[in-house]
Amino acid sequence: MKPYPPSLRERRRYIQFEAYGAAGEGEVSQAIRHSVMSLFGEDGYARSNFSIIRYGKGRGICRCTHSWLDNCLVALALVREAGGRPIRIKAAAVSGTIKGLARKNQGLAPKSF
Amino acid sequence: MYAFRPAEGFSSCKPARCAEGGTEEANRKAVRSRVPVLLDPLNGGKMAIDTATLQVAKDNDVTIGITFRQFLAAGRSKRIRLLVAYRKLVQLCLKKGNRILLSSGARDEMGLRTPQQLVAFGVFLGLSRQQAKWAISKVPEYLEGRK
Repeated sequence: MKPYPPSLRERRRYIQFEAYGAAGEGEVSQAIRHSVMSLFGEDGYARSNFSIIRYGKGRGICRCTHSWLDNCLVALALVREAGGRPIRIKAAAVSGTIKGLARKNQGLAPKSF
Repeated sequence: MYAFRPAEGFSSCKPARCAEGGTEEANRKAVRSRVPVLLDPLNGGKMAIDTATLQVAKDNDVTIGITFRQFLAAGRSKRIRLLVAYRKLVQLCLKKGNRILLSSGARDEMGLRTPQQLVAFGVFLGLSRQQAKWAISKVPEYLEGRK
């Protein structure tokens, strides 16, 4: 299939987050998705193109379109419990590529903001 | 009168003097008493502050404080009302030129949020990115100098 031209491709932002609390991996992912859905509804969820790329051992990466970055950060901040246990999500870094996040982890690039 | 309790491990911080709003009466009283910060003026989810009160707040150098805590604690229906009310308040404050303070208002470790998340929260409420950054950095500096 022919790929989209660059002008029509969406600009993505990858958010690296850390979860603090005693909730399981599946519960944290579900709580984040529920928070986005609760705050923006199905339409907003679709427009933001939000998805959790990976999550494990209290750290994860999620993705959204660049115009919805602030909204998704608020949705992450509004997560307060998962599986009935209190948790806190900290947005650690934001980048346009997963490779960029890895570079920020290694301290090779200044963290955003 | 209300004072921010510093979180555990931050006991050396001086508490800032704040008045907690929520009702029209409480907001008006706080603004007239020239307290440095009027915190959460719309905690009930109703538009309990009007342009006249905001004008007095500006004249008396009272900062309008918005905490993330109330949004975190609110259920879904109350959060919707809070969002509507606070977006309107932010519009009014920008029009009138009132100073806005953004804070997590955390009472414990679980309530803490990163500056980036607070800036995003400010943008979500209708501030520009620059104004939101100002509200979490320069405004507290100003209040610290005012004490």
